[in-house]
Amino acid sequence: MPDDGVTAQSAFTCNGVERRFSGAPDRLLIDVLRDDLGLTGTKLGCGTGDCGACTVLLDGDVVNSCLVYAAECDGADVQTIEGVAETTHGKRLIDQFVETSAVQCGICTPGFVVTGAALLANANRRLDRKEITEALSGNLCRCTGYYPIIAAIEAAMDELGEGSS
Amino acid sequence: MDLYGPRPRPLASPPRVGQGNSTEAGRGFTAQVQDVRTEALSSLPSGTSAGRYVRPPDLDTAVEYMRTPGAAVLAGGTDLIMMRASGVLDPQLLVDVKNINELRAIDVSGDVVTVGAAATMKEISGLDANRLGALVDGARVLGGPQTRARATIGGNACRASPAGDTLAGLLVLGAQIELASSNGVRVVSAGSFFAGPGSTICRPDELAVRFRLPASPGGSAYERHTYRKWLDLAIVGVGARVAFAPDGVCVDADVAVCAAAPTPLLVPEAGRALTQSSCDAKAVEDAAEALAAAVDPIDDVRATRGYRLHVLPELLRRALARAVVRARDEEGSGYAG
Repeated sequence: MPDDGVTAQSAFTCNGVERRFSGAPDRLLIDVLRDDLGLTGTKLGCGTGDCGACTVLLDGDVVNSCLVYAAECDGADVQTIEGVAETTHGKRLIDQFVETSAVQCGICTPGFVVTGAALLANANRRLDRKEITEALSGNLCRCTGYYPIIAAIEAAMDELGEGSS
Repeated sequence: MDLYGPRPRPLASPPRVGQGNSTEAGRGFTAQVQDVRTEALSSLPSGTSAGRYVRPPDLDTAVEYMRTPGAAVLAGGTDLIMMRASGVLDPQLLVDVKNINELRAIDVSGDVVTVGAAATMKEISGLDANRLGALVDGARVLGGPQTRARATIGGNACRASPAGDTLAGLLVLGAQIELASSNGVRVVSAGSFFAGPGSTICRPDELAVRFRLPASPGGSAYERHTYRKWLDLAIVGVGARVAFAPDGVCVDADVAVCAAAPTPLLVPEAGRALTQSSCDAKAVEDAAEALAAAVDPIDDVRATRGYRLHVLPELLRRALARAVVRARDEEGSGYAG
């Protein structure tokens, strides 16, 4: 860590790859992901933490990357939609998103897939619709009316249940 | 400062409908969208320095940093980052406290529960609702899942929005707030912590270290009214705590309200209306009257004064109903006579 604090530094893994950030203390994580790392899957919606389009996983938790400074991520594990889409849960969920037509304009989709995949990974049982909806309450969609998204997650959960030993 | 928190930046000028990209005017529209997008990114208004950022490993180092003029604590960042981007705040030094273990620690092992100032809403949501109901209820509804993974109790308290969702809980649970600075440590009751909308009795060089929640008899709950189910700020909220003697008489009660006064407000008269009663409908009505007399809600973008006063009694009823259930569920029936 530099003495003066004018340049902030942090080292974090992003989708399994070690990254080093060095820059302005107020540089947002979403900007580092999109502009520096070229990971443009994460979308900027509101910039105020009110829509969830910018959702990424930070140490396994869903967070709004528009409200995290890159400097704060030292030692953290960051997963963006690009990483989540390569996981078992992510792939399963994306297939279901296609099946249920859960994508229209697509701007909310990365956020929903990240949140949904985290839900699948953390759930120890098949959640009901109310629980799923509450888990998605930080992600807004202006196009689909939410039902196809919820249906996709339910279907992915059912699939998981069938496949589990 | 906006009473209920900053609004997202407005568009520089409204987008014009019905014009494609091929016309002169259409290109102008695209340029406007781009400007707005750039504004929403991390660049601060010109003339504002990006400040400095430090990440102290322990409390002593943090206390030392806080002596810097313009220092501000960075915990969850869910308010600070937004307020900084919109220019409402301009801290010269960000002191990131998330690496300080004692600020993150939660200890439920003793009679007094201690919750570190940097404990998140998500962590607090998992605490025992029978013991800390009003606080847990507030932590569970604040923002959304993404907010709750980051937002901290210290931030919610020090931001001192009159509508803060954990604040009525801190009041009815009799929380004590430990503050540290280079002058030492002082402990302040939650009841005397809030000074006005967005303002506390904290000195500029002080930081909140932990919240002490004494063993409160009985059960408590927090109930708020919002238009949306989630991701919303309270129109008005009520925290209530009740404890019963074995014969069913309420021996101890506290009621607090949020978003109905310049600060979150403990209302002793409402608590008194409930004690020595069985918390029957009449007692609750009396308490609701006392509550209405004590608060001073305003008209704002979210609701009118009249509407807030209108929903307050029902919120009190619901908060009490849940508090009573928790009080009676508690082993030992909550009050050692």
